[in-house]
Amino acid sequence: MVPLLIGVSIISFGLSHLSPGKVGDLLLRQSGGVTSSESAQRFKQELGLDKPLPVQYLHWLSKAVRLEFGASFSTGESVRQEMLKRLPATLKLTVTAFSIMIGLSLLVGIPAGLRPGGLFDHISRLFSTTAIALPNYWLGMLLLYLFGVHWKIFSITGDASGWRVLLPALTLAIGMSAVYSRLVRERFLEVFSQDYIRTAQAKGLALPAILFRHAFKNALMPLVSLWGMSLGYMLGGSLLIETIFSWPGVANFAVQAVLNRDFPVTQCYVVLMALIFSLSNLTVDVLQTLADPKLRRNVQAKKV
Amino acid sequence: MSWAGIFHNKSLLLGGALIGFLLITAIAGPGLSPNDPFQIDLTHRFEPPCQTYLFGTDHLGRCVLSRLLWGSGISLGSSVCITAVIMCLGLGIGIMSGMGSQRVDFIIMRMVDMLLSFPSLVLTLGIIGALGPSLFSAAVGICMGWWPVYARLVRGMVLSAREKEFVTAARLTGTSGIRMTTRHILPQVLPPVLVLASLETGTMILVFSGLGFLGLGVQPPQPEWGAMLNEARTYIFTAPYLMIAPGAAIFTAVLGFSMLGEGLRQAMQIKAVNPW
Repeated sequence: MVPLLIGVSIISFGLSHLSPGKVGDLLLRQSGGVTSSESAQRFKQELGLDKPLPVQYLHWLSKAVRLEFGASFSTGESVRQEMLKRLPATLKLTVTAFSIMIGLSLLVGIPAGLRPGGLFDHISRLFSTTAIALPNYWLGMLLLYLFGVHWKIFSITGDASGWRVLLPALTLAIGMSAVYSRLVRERFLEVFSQDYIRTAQAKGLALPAILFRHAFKNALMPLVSLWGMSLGYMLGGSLLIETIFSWPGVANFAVQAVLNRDFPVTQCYVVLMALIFSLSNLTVDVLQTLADPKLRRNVQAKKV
Repeated sequence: MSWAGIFHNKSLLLGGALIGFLLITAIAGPGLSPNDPFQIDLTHRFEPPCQTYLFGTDHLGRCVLSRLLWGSGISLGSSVCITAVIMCLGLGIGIMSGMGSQRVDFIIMRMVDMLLSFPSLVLTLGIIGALGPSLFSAAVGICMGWWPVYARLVRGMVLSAREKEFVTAARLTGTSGIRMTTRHILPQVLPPVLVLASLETGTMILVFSGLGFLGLGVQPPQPEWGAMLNEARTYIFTAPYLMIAPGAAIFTAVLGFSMLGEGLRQAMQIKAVNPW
């Protein structure tokens, strides 16, 4: 984990050097300075841009761990403050989308897996084929038009209050739940061909009991390892969804920052997302080890 | 794989037909388009679909159908090129990691791990942020965001391909590393990667047009599907029909590529590969 985070920080730091000199020049122009070579030199000295790269990196890192990336070019306020102010809205959107994704994929995947080849299986296949190919930004626009403009149920103003989260979260969740519902279907298909399920059926257990007591955990356990990945997909997808629904989150802010060449904001966003992503991957790993006796035994065996 | 098998493979047929159709529009697009896609005519703004303008006109009075046809070359061409670059990078680096010494493998895999600690699209955004929004930086950003996934996947394939008995036999008879890679490993790895490439082209269209939609990819006045959606977004109240055509085009293209990939997979009898 620690070497990984160091790697992440080096890449994030490297981003600012992809376009040599540009960031310094930009800062200078933004602050209204004249671009004579002398003042530019002085300016670079102030920012420490004349020092060797490793020194610059350490200097940058000491600030980055506190998420201090200076002031935003466009709002003039501290980037950290701006980010932390907007983070709850993004987390709310992501968590809601995640729950919708899990619920929807179970709802579509389990019945399809119980009766392969049945009518519902065909419907669910149609759903997943369509939903995978559907651009979620287009879906978002269509939903926004229908609910916001045509039926006027949904307010298009950009606040993150209450139930307003449902529409963007649904849009964000649909593509991923299409993938997941197929996986859920396959897992239930496999589990239901196992002997222990046949035993449970033979002793006359009702379907809900079989499902919840025997099938559920065994079928879904391997899918937990994909949770981290789908979170990454959602953090990326929120860039599009937040923009469409004018959601007041960090992703929307970051897109505006890229358009305005507001580099401190972009950098802070990238670091923040990598941090959240790495932490949640770690959490998923730990959860999985705790929940799965096989993995747990491996870990203990390694210790001894 | 027989001809009869191909005709029973519905995904392959339908996907192939869709992609064939889109390729024709992409290549012949400039010739087929009824009007000049860059011609601004403010007297004909927001015209609903009619005979001269089959799909209507946009906020500058430009013909939507013509822009769509010109745009298919940019959207599809860029996505196919990006996929090709990603697959080549993934294949090359993955094979290097799988066939190279332990140290090479270690270094490459740690680099891949680092890049994979970023959500792909977030890394792409970071790179575009550094280079400034343009078609080129969007392409570079997407390639950097996605190649590590494939390098890791290919490495896994190479490692399992090396376990085969005929590979061991070849090694024992003293086959050199390069010959081993080209004659024994590559033929095992290539088919699943090609299937994956077709499936991934769909994803790349989504991502590339998505960046265009955010204004971070192709810049106006170039007609790109995502960028056209972005322009349509502003006029969601006055001219909602503007968003139908570009979105439907993206949807069709992605659907076509994913069906083609699925059909190819069935035809070549390859097990489904999950890129994650």
